[in-house]
Amino acid sequence: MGEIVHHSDFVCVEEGSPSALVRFLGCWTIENAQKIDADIAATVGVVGKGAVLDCTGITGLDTTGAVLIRRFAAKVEEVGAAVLTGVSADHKHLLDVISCCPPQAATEPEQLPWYLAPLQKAGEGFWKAVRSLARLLAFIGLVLTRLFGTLLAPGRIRLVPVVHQIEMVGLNAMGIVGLISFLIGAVMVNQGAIQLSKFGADVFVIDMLGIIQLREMGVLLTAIIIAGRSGSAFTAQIGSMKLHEEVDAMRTIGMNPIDVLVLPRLMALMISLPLLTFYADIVGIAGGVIMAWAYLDITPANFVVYFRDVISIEHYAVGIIKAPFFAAVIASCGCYQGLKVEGSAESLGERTTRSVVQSIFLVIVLDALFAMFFTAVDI
Amino acid sequence: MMDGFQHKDTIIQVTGLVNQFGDHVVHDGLNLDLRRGEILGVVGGSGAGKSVLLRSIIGLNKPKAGHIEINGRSQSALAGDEDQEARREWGVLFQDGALFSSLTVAQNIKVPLKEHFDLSHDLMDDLAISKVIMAGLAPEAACKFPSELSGGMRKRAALARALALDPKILFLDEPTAGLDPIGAAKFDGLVRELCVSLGLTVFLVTHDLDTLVRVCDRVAVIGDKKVLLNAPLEEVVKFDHPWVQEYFGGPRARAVGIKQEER
Repeated sequence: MGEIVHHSDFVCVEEGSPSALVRFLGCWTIENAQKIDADIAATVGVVGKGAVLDCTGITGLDTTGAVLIRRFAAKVEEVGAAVLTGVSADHKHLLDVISCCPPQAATEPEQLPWYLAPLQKAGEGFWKAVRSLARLLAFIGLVLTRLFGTLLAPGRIRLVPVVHQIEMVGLNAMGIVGLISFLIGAVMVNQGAIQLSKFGADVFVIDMLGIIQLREMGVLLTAIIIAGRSGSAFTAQIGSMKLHEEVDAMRTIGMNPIDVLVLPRLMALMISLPLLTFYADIVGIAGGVIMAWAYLDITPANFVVYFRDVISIEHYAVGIIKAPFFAAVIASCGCYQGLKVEGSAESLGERTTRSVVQSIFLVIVLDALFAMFFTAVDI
Repeated sequence: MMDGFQHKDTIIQVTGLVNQFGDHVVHDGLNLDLRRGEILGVVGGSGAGKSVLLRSIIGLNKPKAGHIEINGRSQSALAGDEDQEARREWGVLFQDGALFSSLTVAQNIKVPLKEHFDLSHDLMDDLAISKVIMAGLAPEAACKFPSELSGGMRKRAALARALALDPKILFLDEPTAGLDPIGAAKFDGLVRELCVSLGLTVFLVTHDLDTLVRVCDRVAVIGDKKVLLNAPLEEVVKFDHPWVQEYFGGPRARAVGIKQEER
């Protein structure tokens, strides 16, 4: 018997020649895996050249234990020979199932080193955005051709889904759109009055409110709320249908997903958004009226008389004309990203995020283009 | 083959289980026992409540009444850490695999390991790959995402995850549904083999007559809101109940070689 060089609850190493004797003891199960792993790390260095691995002392073994034994053997074999003895019949099965030291295989997808990853991400992100915009443009084209085709053959319009979607995106959004418009209208009068009163020009707050609310704020805020509220819903609805192969099923039945899923949503939004904008304009100005009454002592009647004098119908038209365009962009983005969902729940989340970000971005870009256009034509 | 009759000790005992959804009574006083080391096949018509039974046993569905005991521990009395502890003793293979879609196969297997133990990365990688191989997948599949796998491979990967914590009991919900006959036969063989080598007890919900014949030690038939009988296949086939007779007397049953006595 050689000298005992290491002794713990699970591993006992005796020195000897030509090779050391390693006795495994106790319960080699997943509960003890952490300790055994540490023991193995400690004892492998002690074993000089090869070892006899004695398993007679093992009282319990599961697959984790078997993997640990295989690991030990593999580590010993790096320096010499490892011989496994004393395996009981019960445990032999298990050790057979666990292949001798699994081949090295990656368990995670390959990743770039940390200093290259941000560069790669930036490049990929940029190309993704460019490609995504290009594809979105193609998608909008496709949807528009289907839309005009549908307008030529009105029988193909699916009225029930359109009405249902109008309820979902229009009627049900009235609460939140109204609340936000009202508050923004009130805040604009409040803040404007403070600044303008320095010049004794606080009555011009009505001009300011009218122009900003009607031309820009009403439609832009409504579009952004709807992009967050309905654009994301479109992506999630269509995306989860895509995940469950419902969209594929539709195709095989001979229904065009553009006709069935995209057009009703597009039409509903193109009808709803101008209506919501009109509503937001009124509620926003009502908020201004109340704030002006409370803050500046301008009675609602005076407000309206003055408002009628200074605000022409053009301001209103400039705002409302943008709504259907914004609606088309939001609906197309939402549906396009929904149809692009693939494979996993993660992709659904990513697409939903992208749909909202993209549609808000495009709405604002489009708004800027409109502003330039209206300035150029002097409206 | 392991003989169910030699293992008289019961590992799962369900007594007087009542499950009800609204007015719809699924189980009414259902009794079932599962013996250590056996493979129990649970059959029954669609909507008979096989999956509900499975969900009740693994604690995903709170029964209206009744008592479920696993390893002598009453499931309704468990709370907190004890519940966590008890959950380590079983693995579940859901019908569609239910792999986490944002993780690779190996990461999926590591999830329960990370949750319950504090092991080194190296060891977890080894364990994950061992389980992948044990489930009959190529090691290269370890770094694939579930969406990149075929249906059969997904099932195997899910089985590997179910085995991650070395459970004593394995619950399989229609493991061979949606697999081609070759894949299904291989999966059956795999379950049998693992059961022998790991000493597992298996609760297997299935519609697959092949699986019943090739894998199961005993068959429990669910019907009329109860377990009609729980016996080896030869006895079940002779049982005098219209549904059982139709199930095991049909052309598909004859095709897999289930013979009935002339009556």
